[in-house]
Amino acid sequence: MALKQAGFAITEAADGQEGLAMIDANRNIAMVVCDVNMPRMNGLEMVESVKRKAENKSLPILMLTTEGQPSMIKRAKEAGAVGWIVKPFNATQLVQTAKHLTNV
Amino acid sequence: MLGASWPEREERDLLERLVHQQADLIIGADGAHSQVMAEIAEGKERIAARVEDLKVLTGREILACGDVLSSIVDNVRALVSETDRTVQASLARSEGLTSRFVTEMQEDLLAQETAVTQVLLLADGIEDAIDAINGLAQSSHMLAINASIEAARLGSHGRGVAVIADQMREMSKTVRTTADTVRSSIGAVRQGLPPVRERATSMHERTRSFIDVVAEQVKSTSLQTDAGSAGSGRLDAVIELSNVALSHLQFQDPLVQKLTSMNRDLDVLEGRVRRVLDGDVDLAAAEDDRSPGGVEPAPGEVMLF
Repeated sequence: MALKQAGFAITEAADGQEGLAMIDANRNIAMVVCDVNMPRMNGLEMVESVKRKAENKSLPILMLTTEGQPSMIKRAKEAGAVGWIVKPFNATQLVQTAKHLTNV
Repeated sequence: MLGASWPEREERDLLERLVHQQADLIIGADGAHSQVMAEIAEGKERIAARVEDLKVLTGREILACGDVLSSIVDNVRALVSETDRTVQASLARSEGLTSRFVTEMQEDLLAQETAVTQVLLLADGIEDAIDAINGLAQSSHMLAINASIEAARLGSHGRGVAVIADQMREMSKTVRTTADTVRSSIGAVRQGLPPVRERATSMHERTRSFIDVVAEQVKSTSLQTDAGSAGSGRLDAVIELSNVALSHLQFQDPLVQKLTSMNRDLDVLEGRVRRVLDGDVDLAAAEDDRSPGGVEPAPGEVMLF
């Protein structure tokens, strides 16, 4: 909602697999924000799947989750995620981070 | 829990024996292992079901609250936009009224100037008439003098002519005096009219300047105060409040996710209990299961890689 109000066009996915399909189908996506805990395919698996494809190497993926275990953060970083925010988050900071990552 | 603080093998063996003894005490007999595992599995399913219910409920409530907040923001945005349009329309109306007022004043001034010019032209005509009257008075005076001379030459027969000559002289004198009075009045009118016209022009210009200043002031005040501060400022405040409300709502999501994590922990615990009950305790493996050390980021902290 905060991103939408800041002027970003938002497309939502119910789970990791749906998110992956959306990214494949829409080449105009400028940034991905995903949780770790998602049904069917968790966020870490999704990042790894997305980043395996060469065309997604420059697509910024920001993790937004309640999880904060260093092992998960390390895995996300190695997979190619650009950042990690632990919930609850500050909406203004999220918007600023999104603008920074998308060069808005 | 069972890891690094137990480095010695003997101590590990002792712990294993103690765990087995405790397990036997709890379940009473080896044959009851399956019953314990069934109870654990049943409890886990109940917890998982409740977590799932809570997740659905929380998700629905968060979405509903988000929709309400979005709706509030959209409404406020529409209100600000509507207010801005109203202010613009008012300004346009105000500018129209001002413009019409100035035009009417210009028309009044033009009519006034025309009237003054006409009066001055009339004064010119009157002065010409006065010159003509003075000429007549002069002729009458000369005629009276000639008549007096003729009356004197006629002697007693010219007495009547002498009386008429005197009356003509008096009449020409009166006409001349009256003409002088009118000329003097016309002169006063000529001197008085230009200042009247200048003052009218000056008043018109000052009024127009005043109206321009007032219109500009109204415009800037309306735009800056009403549309600017009261509109955009309040919209920013509503968006900020919505973000704060959303931040508070997020606490429900972490709650569900923490419960989900607890459920996962129950899985791990179930596995460990099963291994203990099966006499397959491997403390080294248990140690390997632990997460690597490190500092977890604080809630809300933004980590960019």
